[in-house]
Amino acid sequence: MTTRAIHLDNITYFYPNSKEPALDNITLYVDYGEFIVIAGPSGGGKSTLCRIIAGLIPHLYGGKLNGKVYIDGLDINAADIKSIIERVGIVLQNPENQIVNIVVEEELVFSLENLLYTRTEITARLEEVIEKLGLSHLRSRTTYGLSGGEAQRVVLGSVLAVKPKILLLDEPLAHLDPPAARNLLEFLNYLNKVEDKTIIVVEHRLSELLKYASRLVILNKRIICDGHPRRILSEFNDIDAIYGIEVPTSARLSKVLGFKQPILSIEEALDLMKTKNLTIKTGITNEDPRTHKVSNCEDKDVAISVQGLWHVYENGVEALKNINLDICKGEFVAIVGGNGSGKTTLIKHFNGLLKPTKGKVYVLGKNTSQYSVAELAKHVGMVFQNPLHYFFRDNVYDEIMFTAKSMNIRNAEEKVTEILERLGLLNLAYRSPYEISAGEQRRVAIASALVYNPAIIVLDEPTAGIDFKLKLELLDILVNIWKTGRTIVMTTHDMEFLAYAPVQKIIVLDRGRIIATGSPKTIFYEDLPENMAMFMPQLVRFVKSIGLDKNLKPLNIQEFIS
Amino acid sequence: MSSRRFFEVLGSSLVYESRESIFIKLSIVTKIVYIILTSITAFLSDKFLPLIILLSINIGLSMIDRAMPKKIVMMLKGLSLFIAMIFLFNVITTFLLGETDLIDVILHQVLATIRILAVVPPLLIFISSTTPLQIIQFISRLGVRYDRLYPFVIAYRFIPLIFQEMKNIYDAQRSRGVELEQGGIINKLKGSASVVVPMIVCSTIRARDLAEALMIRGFGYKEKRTFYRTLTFTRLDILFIFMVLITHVFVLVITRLSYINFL
Repeated sequence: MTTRAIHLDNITYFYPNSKEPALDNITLYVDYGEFIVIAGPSGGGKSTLCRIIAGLIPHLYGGKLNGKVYIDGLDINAADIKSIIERVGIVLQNPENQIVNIVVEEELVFSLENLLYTRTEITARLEEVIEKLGLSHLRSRTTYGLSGGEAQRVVLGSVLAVKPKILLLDEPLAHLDPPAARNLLEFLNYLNKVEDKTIIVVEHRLSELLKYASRLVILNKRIICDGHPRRILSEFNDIDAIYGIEVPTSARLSKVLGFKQPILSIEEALDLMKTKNLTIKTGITNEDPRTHKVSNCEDKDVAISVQGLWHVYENGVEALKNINLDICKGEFVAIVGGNGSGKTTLIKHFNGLLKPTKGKVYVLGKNTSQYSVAELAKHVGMVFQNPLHYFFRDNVYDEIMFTAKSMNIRNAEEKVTEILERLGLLNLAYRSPYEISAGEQRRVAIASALVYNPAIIVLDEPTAGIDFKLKLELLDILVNIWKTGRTIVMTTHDMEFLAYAPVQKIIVLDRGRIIATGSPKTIFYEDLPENMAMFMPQLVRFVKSIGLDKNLKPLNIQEFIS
Repeated sequence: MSSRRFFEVLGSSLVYESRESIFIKLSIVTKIVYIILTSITAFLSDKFLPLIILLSINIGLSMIDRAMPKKIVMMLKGLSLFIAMIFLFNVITTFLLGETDLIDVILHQVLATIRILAVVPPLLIFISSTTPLQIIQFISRLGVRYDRLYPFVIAYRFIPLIFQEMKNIYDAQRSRGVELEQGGIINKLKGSASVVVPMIVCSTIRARDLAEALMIRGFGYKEKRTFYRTLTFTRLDILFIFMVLITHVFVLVITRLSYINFL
């Protein structure tokens, strides 16, 4: 048998006490130096596959594993932990939970110390990793003060210190903003091309990822397809709708431009156009700039008014600096910005969870400093990122009923049934909220905020960590809510999602300040500063690069075609 | 001060802080020696003057690091209520049970309090400039297995995260109209389930992730492990111990020379 990086033969796996296989008859061969992307719907077994490759299954989880698993020629069932770690390094979904030590430097050498490397070797590898990942400014820092992106780099450094041949990352982009995601992907590409590491990335967000991949595997308990991303994207229609795969805008664009093969990045599309001397004529002279203007709301139409808002946390961090904004009644607003820009801090002022250090926030004319959270919550339904922070009742029905009763609404039973029906949750009414899928959990959290009919709905990063199909479902729900006349405010750094949402106003935050406010077209085509170019949807970057943005300003491929 | 604020103040004075400080450069052994020497000196000193001098010396030494005085104040602020309660309790019980003079009892309690306060600076220096891993390294030299001690590091690392998560859950529940700070005890107990249950679920997920993280880092691979940092003793350590020794001996000499009761 030729030694391969990964050799999975007829793998079927059952978690302990489960009769349904999490993976069913998987055969997968990965050669050294490949860059593989594994995608597929939530609950399709992607994380289980990662655990098998990393040896966590069966060593930690138990359960029933049929078939053979070889990693770099090593039978994972019989191998000791040191042999596994030296071959395959894994960065799991939530880096914050993987950091064990208090100081970054201690974390970076943790595996090496456990595996009894010598002091000299550890010191040499520590310096190497610090230089490679640019961690010198963090080396003496405590780990509990790290941002999400920093925590991920520390975990990656800790894994790379052992010098594994294979690197496995489970949803590494889920909580990163676009620039941080781009940096990580560039680094993985460097490891793959320069250091010849085999890279396996499990991910939903494919827009910026696929251009680096040599293979795309779609997994839904079984392998649905396996091949070069171009082949998969050209051969399988509707993989987005069926398997929740995010087809990059560039690939959709290739059909419009008449290319035979799907294009995997905007840069590639531009190169091809240049090579083929291709130009696009629109027949449109100039889009009327008035159509992009955001109208100011009359006083009586203001849903949320923020005036000179400053928020300083107890540790002295100035999270918000002189924020001024108006959100009109019935408006669909997105607050965008990188990690740590102050998005969540801002929306926590909308229902009084945070009070201004300086300045004022009015919600439907009420000064939030003078009202309790419970009073403001009657007007503002808040949906936070993690639905698990809400659930504590036995079933979905009781969960939503609890909110209805807390808000003292009349005809609670009727309202709960109505909202369950509207959000397609009626068949799950008597299931435990912990047993349902991630998308369903998010819908339950939204239902809980909608049941008492608040005028304003605020969502914090609603698309973080969910697949494309669920994003489309979520968008549908939000649009329907918005059409009933409610004001929708959401924070996000998912620009591709934003390109499809009927957002009327975008507020761009950067390090606690508003740096731009306007319609999506104004923001993306005119006002977004150069250093935030990665926050533009792919299509906007393309249109701007070919100089068509004077004539037309599409946000998504449908608008571009039309 | 609300109970949440109390724990925040106390907690922030007790965490390890990464910054440029002489105390971070000192060996853990030096810091332990400092605590032991201060404890012995405080125990042997039974008069006001030497104890006040000892307290002043320790505060003075801690001021080498600019952040320490603030930490000491925060710590004392956090503990002030407890200290006052213990003080009162001791005074009342000693006076009622014993046959001593009330003034004597109060003066004895004041002496005991100053003794405790004198040990606070070296303890805070130790806690805020020593990582739990360094403590483990030190103890494992005494023959204790490192994996038996690691839960201490894990608790230290995850307690702030769990507090943060609790705060987020609390915010999520308040956003749906739950008022945990109002109503009677039964209402509060009922309401607390809305925080406790999600907390348990999220902590269970965290524990699973942690178990995975430990395994894929080779934790417990062998009974022993390497510690990449050595417990070296530098000139700075010698100088510091020398200073502590001189000043503490001075305090003891004053104690022996002082013949007046309490002074």
